[in-house]
Amino acid sequence: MKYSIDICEKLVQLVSPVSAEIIQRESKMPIVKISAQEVRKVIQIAVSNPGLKFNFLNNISGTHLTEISEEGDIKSRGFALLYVLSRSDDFSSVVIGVDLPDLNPSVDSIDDIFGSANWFEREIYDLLGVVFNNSCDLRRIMLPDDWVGHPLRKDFQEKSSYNGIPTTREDELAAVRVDNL
Amino acid sequence: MNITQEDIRSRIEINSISGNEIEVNMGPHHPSTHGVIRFILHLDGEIVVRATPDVGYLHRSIEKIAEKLPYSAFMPYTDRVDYVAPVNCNVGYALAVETMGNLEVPERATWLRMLGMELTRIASHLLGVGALTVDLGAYTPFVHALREREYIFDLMEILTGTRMNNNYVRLGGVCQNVNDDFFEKLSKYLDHFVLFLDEFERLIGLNKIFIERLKGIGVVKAEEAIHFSLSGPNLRGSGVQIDLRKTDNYCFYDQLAFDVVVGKGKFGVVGDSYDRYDVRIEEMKQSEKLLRQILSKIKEGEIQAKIPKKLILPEGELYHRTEAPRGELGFHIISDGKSLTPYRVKIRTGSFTAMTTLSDKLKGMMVADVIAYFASLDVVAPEVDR
Repeated sequence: MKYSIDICEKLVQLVSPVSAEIIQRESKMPIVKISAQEVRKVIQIAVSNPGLKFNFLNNISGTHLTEISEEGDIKSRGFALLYVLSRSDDFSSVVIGVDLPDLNPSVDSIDDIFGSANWFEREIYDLLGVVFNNSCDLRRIMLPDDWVGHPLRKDFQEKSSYNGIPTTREDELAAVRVDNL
Repeated sequence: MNITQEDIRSRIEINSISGNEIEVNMGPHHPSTHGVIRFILHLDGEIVVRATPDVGYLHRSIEKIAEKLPYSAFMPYTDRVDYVAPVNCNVGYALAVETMGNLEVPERATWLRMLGMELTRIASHLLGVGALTVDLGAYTPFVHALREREYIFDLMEILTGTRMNNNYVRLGGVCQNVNDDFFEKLSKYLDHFVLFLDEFERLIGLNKIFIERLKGIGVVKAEEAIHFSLSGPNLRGSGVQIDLRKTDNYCFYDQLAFDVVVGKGKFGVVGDSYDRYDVRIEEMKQSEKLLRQILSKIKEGEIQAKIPKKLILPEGELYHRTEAPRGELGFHIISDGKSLTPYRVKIRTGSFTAMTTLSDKLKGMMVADVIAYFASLDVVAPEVDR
């Protein structure tokens, strides 16, 4: 994979050296970290600036960030989104990261910039509950519309039944297991 | 008089078709949806006014399962991401973990992986073009393609021990070695395969009805393909010369000579359904070339590096992508640096982004063309849902 630190620095310079920073600088994938309010602005710069031209959206992924206390309780620290953009000529890439708060996480949609963004965003909305503002079509994509909760959250508890259908079943083999005899 | 899809689309905009709209459910269990995908089609006569794809029927929570399993134990699940091309998914995942953990892979293991990947690519494209022909009503070529796929499965059985869902790759190597007997068999098979492709081309590729059904249908222009993040053969079918085997230089693809095949508008326009079919056929020829080169370069050696039994990756994250038969297969892995399981694994697949073109592209199409267009994208449902 081609991730170049120079491109990241160029993007940071173009955006604002104050609010954007590069994390994971020494690793194989440096990330340009920006604030949630700037997502659309930064991606528009990355797409249209003649020196950047990252006009291909590879991926958007979302993650639930948590901290596990000494007692084993899961404490939510919010959400992280990662946008991977590439150039359509040599396919070198730049990675843009955003952190979102724990309560009512939301970010501006980029589905008017990339045609594929809507489905990526719907998946994140469905599985993590991050809301994309001004999205053209923000519905659940994988799960049924009447599902409650967002399963990729670390603190998601599966309900024992869905629409009267049990989600767990009795252990049919329990009776014949050696340790139960 | 020729009425194009664009003409029909403009008439839809001003509601100048009959206005008698009916809603038709295509799928989830429809023979041409290649798995379980549902389209809600709003039809005016035979014309699609509005189409809403509905996915999720094959969602198996693979990403959530990954969070519960040690890195090596997740490998069999990657087979099921795209069960038509399991080895490519294995390698995609293995490379992501190995790059992140700085794990070495012995040379022979990498060559064997490439052998498995290219064989699987051929098998996968065979199913892709075969299913395309059967969706258009030509049954015979489908059976021919599946017969060839069976021969490849015979070879895969020797190479990996299983015919499907091979679970061949291990972190730091592959699961078993092969002897020179296998290479001879493979080389013999390749001689046969070239003849088969030629026969297949005469059987269906140059068939007048087949060409008429595909040319000029579902045209995706280069800029649209980029806008919708199409990848793999679908992107190249639109004339965009991107192949991650060239641009990303993983495994030893830089040591091998092969061409990046792009759509040329052989019978219609660049980016039509025939181009996507043609790219897959040509790509099989390239894979055959690659396999011969791999056969000439592979040497004796270790097939498995020593990796720690309890593998913990350094803290951080990585998005690693490889060229699978259905396009870019990306694994985004996050490690917290202290646990045996990944913190998060996100899988980006080629079929997922191919699906995003549908609601736009199907508008103004005839129902029969919906099937032709969809089949030419070679979408595999489990890869969309994961």
